Amino acid sequence: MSASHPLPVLDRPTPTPPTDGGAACVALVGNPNAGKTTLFNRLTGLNAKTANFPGTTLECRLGHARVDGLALTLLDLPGLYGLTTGHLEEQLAADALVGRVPKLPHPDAAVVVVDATALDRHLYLASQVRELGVPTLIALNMADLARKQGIEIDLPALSAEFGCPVVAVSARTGEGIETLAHELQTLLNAEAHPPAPESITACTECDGCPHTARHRWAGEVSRRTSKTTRRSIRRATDAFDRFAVQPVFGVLLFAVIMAGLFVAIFWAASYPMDLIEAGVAQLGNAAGAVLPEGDVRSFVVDGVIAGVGSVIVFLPQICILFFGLTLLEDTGYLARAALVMDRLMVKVGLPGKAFVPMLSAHACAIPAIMSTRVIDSTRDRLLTILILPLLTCSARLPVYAMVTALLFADQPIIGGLVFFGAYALGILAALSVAFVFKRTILPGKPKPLIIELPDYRAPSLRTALLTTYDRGLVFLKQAGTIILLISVVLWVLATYPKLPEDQLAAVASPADAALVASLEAQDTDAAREELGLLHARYAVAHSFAGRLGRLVEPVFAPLGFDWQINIGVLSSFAAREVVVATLAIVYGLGEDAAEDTPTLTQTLAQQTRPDGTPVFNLATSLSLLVFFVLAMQCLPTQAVARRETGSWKWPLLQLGYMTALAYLAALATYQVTSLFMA
Amino acid sequence: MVLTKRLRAVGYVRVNCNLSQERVSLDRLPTGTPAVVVGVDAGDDDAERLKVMGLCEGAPVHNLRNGNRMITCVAGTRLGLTAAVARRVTVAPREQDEPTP
Repeated sequence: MSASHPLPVLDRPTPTPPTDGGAACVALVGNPNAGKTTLFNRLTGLNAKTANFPGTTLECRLGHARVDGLALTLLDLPGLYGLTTGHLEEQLAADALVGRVPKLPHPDAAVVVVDATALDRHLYLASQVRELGVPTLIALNMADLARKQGIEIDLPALSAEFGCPVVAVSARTGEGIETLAHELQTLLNAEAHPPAPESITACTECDGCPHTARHRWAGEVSRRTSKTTRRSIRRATDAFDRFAVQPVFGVLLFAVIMAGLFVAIFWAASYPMDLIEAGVAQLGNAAGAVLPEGDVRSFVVDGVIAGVGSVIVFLPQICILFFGLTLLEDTGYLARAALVMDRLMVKVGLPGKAFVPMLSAHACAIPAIMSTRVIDSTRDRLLTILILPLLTCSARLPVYAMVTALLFADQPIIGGLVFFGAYALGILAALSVAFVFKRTILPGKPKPLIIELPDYRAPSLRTALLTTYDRGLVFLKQAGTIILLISVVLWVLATYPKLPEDQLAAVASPADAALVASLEAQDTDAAREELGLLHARYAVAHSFAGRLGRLVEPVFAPLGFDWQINIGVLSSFAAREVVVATLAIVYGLGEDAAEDTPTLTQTLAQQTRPDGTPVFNLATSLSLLVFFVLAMQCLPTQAVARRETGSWKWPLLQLGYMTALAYLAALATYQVTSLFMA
Repeated sequence: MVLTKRLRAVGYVRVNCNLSQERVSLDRLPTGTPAVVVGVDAGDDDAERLKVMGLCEGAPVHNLRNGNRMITCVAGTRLGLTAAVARRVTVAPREQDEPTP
């Protein structure tokens, strides 16, 4: 795309001023590091929602604000460097500014958020917006930082250069917000709006390179209207950057920072997670006490509450992750991290910016996929989304814990190595798949990194909290809709058709039938409980899920799985951690035993095949482990991938390749290990 | 002093005329050496991105860090970029004592 695209100049008279009582719509536009989102959050607080540009995955945020008596609808557009490069994002933002995007409100005015500490760069976009013909106001953000850096800006002079009001604000401290509201009110009520000054329109009309002319103009205006007396903060940033992006030290620094964040996620999240688990259990008990025994109770307690609860338990991890990442991004450090990691990532066809999502995926693939929005090239973003679920998320940990406990309960070192091996296998698989996709379905090189490195600054707690709230809400909405639906479907499959109590003896094996008869004769509480567990076990086998488990036996037999493991694999299709609970039920322990690892593993270790050999031998256990490292087994992730990629094509490809990879790898593991054991 | 002011007022054009050294690609410009962009390999998306970010003809520039992943200062901010991309930008170093526009 070499030619510049013309600016979409507004072709209608100035917009009508808002009528009394009706909120005027104001679009916020600015460079990625201008503090636009901080200003948006400052003005709207919790009254905001995320919206998509129709037909795309590109996001903007809509919010309502009342500042100094002025009611506003705010439209926060994506961060941009210019309006004319022909990128879809920039085209859409330009269209949105002049009200040409359907389903988005027509802006009555535009507020260009400009970083007062980097006028040269930011005035470029401001001049383009000014040319659109929308009533424009320039908000000189970070006025407090500019003062600290000894930057003095002549506001009236700058206002004269642009022919529009200029207000100094600090979105972080709230300074100047009232003045901003006042000036906006005046702007919105004005009868007429002067056109852009000729010095600005001359940049577009000149014959030479339009970028050169505009940058030159921006530089000149910046010099005419501001002067700097100190540059100490900038120098400190420069000095630190010389080390922060060094190939060795930079990687080490990044490793330490991310390790700190992840330790925080795993430890700090464990407390609220315990609380949520306890809360879900109590809710289940309360519902169980109120509802009469039967299908309705089972549906509510085992289907809805347990199903949604098992996913909501990850909410603290997701929130802490986004809180930490937003703080880190706000300091300006993540831009450096992208530069450091780019060097390593590019070798497998991934961009440097994919590294943070890949680390996040070790907590949960859902926020990781959501955080790929920082990657601006569609190809790079798709490739990253496709490989993210291969990385070991925390939902795999119960499975890993079960298998290592099963195999190496008395050998903690080997157990630890197996754990490490499972993590390493996930990372290796992700990088290999990226490498293969780079040469097949997503050819090409990652978009070369060109990234602005802003000055380091103290992060905004408010922005971090509001982003956390927003991401948490998106996750909860998923849990409330698609995850709820999945839980219900799974419950139906595992419950119907039902096995009547009196037919237990008829379907049980001869040995179990004798046990049933003796237990029924005893008629004690203990016997009844034992009978209940036995019934649960045969009920699962009798259900659709159980029948499916037997049906797919020929498919999974080469992997060393028996039909009970198959039920585990199938039932965990939607959420992998379910496998532990399912195995506990099908081997007749009851769901509570899944919490109690020693009991579960002892029971699993005692299971035998018809020929008397143990079911969970080394080959089958490793095969099961490898399968769970690589298989998709998470419908919520798929639902999020569908939302983020805008079609089912990519999540289906993800499901297909991961299942095939998991199957083949587990097959190889079982067959090879069996050979060595024989 | 007067000359400095005048140079600043007329901006990049005058500085462009004071070229005194060989042209090099941006990735080979030694750190700390002030230079002016004299050309960007045009023709695609990346070149357009570079220009929007400020790396266009006439822009004063200096490198903060060289190497495979480098940092250059242009239009009042730092840009992180790969040497491969920087190779497409041709710069002309300026004398150290020339004023930075």
